[in-house]
Amino acid sequence: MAAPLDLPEALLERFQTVAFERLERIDNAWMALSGGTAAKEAEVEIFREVHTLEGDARVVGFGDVSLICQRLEDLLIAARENGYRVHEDVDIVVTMAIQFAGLLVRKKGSVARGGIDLEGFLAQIEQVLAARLRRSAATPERTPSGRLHLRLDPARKIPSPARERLAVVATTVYVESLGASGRSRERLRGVWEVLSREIAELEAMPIAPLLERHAEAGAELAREMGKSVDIVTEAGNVHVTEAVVEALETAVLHVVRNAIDHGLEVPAHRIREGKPAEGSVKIVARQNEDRVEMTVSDDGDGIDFEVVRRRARELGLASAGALAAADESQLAELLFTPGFSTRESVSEVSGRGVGLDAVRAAVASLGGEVRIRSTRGVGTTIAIAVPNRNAFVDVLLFRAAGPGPTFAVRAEWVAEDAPAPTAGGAAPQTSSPREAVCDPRDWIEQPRATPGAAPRVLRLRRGTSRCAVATDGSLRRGAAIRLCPTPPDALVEVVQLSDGEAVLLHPESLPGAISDVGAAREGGIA
Amino acid sequence: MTTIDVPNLATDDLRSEAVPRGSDGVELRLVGSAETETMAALNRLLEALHTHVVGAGIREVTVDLRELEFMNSSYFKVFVSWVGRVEELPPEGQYKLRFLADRKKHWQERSLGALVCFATHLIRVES
Repeated sequence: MAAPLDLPEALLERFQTVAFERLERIDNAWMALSGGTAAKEAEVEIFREVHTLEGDARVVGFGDVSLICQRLEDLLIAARENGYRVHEDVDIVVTMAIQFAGLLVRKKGSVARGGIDLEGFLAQIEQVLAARLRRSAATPERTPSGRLHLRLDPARKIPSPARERLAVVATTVYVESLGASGRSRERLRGVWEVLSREIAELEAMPIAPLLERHAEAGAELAREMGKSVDIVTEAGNVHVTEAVVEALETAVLHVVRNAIDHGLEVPAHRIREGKPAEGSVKIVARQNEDRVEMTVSDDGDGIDFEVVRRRARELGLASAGALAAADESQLAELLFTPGFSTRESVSEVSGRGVGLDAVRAAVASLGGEVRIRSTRGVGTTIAIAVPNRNAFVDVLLFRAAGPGPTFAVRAEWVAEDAPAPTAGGAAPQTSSPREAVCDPRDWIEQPRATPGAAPRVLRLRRGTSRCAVATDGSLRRGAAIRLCPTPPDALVEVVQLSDGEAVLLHPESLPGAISDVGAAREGGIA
Repeated sequence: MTTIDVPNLATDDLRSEAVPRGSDGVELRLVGSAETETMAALNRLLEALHTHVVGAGIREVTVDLRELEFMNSSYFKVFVSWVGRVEELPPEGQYKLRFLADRKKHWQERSLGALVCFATHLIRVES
């Protein structure tokens, strides 16, 4: 499990306080549901509380708590499908899961401490769920509406070292296909495409299902609050890494809930304001170079910045003079202050607890940022930008002399290009007797260019490291998607360009390819 | 057999008995069926037992549930609270909890199996 983030102590303490309150409500709701004494709202409440606790826990790095909440959701779904007339095993593990979550919240940090057998407890939950499936003739988990219960966490089930080993295997298949021909090449190519597709989904998963899931939850929340909303998501083919999913999951959860709770008005109010009775929330995600940018926009009431100004004055967040002079963008920043709320009383939906400050903390932990724009009476937009670097890499692209694939190195290598000194196939001149010239095919263990070709030497420099590679003289920059990230000690990796694939060389991995020549020269193509 | 000075239960549904066991142990036996009405009383008993055990420097408490016919999940939380109290002690003061269970009572296997996961270094179950 991930270690706890380096978050302010106050945020951690507030998380613990709010988490215990949520767990108490969850426990009470479960007792009422399983005992057949629940009010109509108890079912909605318990799912909402568990889901919110899961998100909050993830933000502050309590991965174990988040995992227990996920399993608890699975148990609750199973119970719901039986009308909460549950086998005693289900009752026991649900009750104990709530207690177990409380135990983990009490323990500082997210890593299970000595004596706590998280794996053993999870195994018991799996046993109960499996037994329940056998009793109900094993059908896929479906909610009463018929939707499949999707969980966007395939990458969490396969550790990073295992994913890297799979990537090495897939890359080996690809490299073999380069040297094969006819049916053999086709078969290898087919295997590569299947493997790379599966691995790509493990490394960088589509964000669309995450947004759709939160859109559904937001619509349900709106119904509970007597509001009408149309939530639209646009994510296209945006893929993000696991770390980005975790940060965005919590950000979207809180931002959508805020939009429904704080932003959107009830239908009667909207009609009086000349708006359609049904409110609108739009969640858009797009890839912009190496960042994922997401906006959540609503057409609600917007932020009353005078209320923000007054509340900030009451809380003593700034001097009266500074607050009087503050513009809307400065006042909007105050909304990220821990515990800040313009609500007179907290609700179970929002108002206190882990809110915008936690959203910013989660996003900032990845080097991202959050901004708010709002117009009174028109609506509010929360804009989130998070680096999605691991999925993309800037590269230098070139080809070897003779036929073959496109090769690449990371653009952190600075390149120079120099012509071969003779046209007779003699070895290209090197800058020093110690500089050896490699052929890109050396990395994929294929025969070098036939004699007679006149390779050009591409000299690569990174710090004091040098690498000389024989090419056909072509050189260009590009952006590539890392389809199957291999570990640094692997020889190569396959990356996707806009016009095909390339073999990304790891210069350091080929013995003898790198020389250290002291201070770097000036110049080169960068 | 001497008994320990704790508020034992003696209702129609549930009875308890706490006695010394060896030189540094205590045994708590529960007989009957744990219904919701006795939950507060059992909690008081466990709190008093904890105080006694800590004061006497006892290293292990044996909890005999073999004649306890049933305890629902909410009630079972009293044991979770008890484990929490033991864990709050300094490491050198923490005592072990040894549960004697009846394998034929499935609820005991499931409940105690989960309880062990809370503190594997403190709890063991024998059946």
